[in-house]
Amino acid sequence: MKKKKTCITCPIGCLLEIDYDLTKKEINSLKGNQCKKGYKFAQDELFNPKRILTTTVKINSRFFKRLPVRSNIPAPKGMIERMVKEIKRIQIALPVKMGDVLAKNFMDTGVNIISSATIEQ
Amino acid sequence: MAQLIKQAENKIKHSNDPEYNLVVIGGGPGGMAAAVKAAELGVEGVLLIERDSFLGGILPQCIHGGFGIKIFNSELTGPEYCQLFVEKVRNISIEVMLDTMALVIDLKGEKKSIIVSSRNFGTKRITAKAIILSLGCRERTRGQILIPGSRPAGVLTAGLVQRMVNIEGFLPGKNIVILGSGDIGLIMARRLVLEGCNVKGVFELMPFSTGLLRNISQCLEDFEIPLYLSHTVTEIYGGKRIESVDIAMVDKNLNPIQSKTKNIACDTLLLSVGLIPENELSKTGEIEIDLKTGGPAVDEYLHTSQNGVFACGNSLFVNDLVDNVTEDGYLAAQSALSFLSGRLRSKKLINIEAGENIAYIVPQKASGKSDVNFRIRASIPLRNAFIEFSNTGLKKKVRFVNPGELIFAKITKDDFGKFLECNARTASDSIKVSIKKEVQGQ
Repeated sequence: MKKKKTCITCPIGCLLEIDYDLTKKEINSLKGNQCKKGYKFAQDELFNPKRILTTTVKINSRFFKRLPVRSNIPAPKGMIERMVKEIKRIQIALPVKMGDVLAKNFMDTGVNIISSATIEQ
Repeated sequence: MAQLIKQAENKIKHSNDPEYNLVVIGGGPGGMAAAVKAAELGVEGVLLIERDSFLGGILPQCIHGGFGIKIFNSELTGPEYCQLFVEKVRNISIEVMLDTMALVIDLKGEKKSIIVSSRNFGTKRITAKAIILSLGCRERTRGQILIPGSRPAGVLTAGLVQRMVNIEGFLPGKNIVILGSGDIGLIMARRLVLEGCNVKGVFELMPFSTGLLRNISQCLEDFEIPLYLSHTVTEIYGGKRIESVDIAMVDKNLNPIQSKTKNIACDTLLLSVGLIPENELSKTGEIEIDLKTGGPAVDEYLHTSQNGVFACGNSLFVNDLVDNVTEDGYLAAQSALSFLSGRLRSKKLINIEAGENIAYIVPQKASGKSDVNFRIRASIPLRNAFIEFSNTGLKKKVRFVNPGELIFAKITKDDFGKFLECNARTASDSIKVSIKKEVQGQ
């Protein structure tokens, strides 16, 4: 099978032309990538797509009503919409520091939800 | 201008003007980078002025990833990128004034000065030996693209909605139409879908998107949000609240085709139709503005037309990546240091003109005494093209250019040498830069 995909590893956004075999989960040929990360992206994207998840959780700070949070590693793409809904239930006590783990192995995805910001008050 | 200065001056109560070596105006990524770098390089008496209650500018509301690949060699979110710089600012001796608005830059007197206003101390005059402007940019609004129709609530710019959703914590509406495929529009399309809104589509006037390719892929394609190129909003309906919009396909000349119009019900229209460098303050200092970028015309040191005043960040030109803004902040700081230590002397400058297929080029002037990194914004997408620098014989191949992605091109000191030799014969004092399509078989 052939597919065109924009590599989203970095903001350059190479247009990849991928020829692949879905049953064997193998890439036969790859064109358009400017670095080797393109190959890794194509492989993940076709056989196991993942995305960094970012959203917000309610807090009570002087300036911010929401705390930005993220997944520490890319989360399974198919789970993201459900995860974002579930994340809203997380309760936050201030102060919170950037990188603080707010939920471990969230919804059994192997992904931790961490704080993106330091908010003291 | 004199009147503006006088108006601001009338409000000043105290007369002891604090004096700084370097005042950086704007506490976003550009300003923080400039202030931190200047302090790291040993400049004493650095003041950073920010009008908001926190540092970071636009970064705290950009909760998505993709920041810091160049500067931190990892993919961070906006708040993380911001936090790392806020810590740098805290750990080095920089004075920070929050909740402080710079009203006027006064360069008429013997000393450069800035009149600032704050709820903490009222209005005062601050003198500076050097100034770095990192004022950010503003969003284009409905008024600037002249959409006809009634004037209901619910017509909002994308960056404003980003702040509402990510910082203030409320949604603008439920059924959303997005006009313009700029990066913030694409990112907000995804964000609003994740928050449970129904995004009916992204409509782009041009036959191509002005956003980064990766954003079209990960924000629209991932969520099956349709992108309609060559479409625009021709009418807004609604009383108190927007109820629907007319969407029309446009022809080659960007004129709406009447027969290809449809009505779409919505309660929110998001506009992502471009950004304009913010330079109201620069104008009070009578700094020369390049009409193409909308920012100050600078040389390769980011030196504006006013001696000792430098510009960086989105007030210089609208960037796609924060990493580039940070690098320009560093460059402005280095240049300010050179100026303060008397090493930055005014030289004869070569004008750099934006030619064919180029929306703008920065810097707009160059001394030719060192290598210069040009930042070029293409006006249309082109494949297999080359950048031509007139009067230098210099050509650079580019596989693909896209208005959404800034092009970097370097001219070395040696190449400038060739120009200067040629210049002596032709008496031309400018280099015209163009992007042209490679002709097959040549």
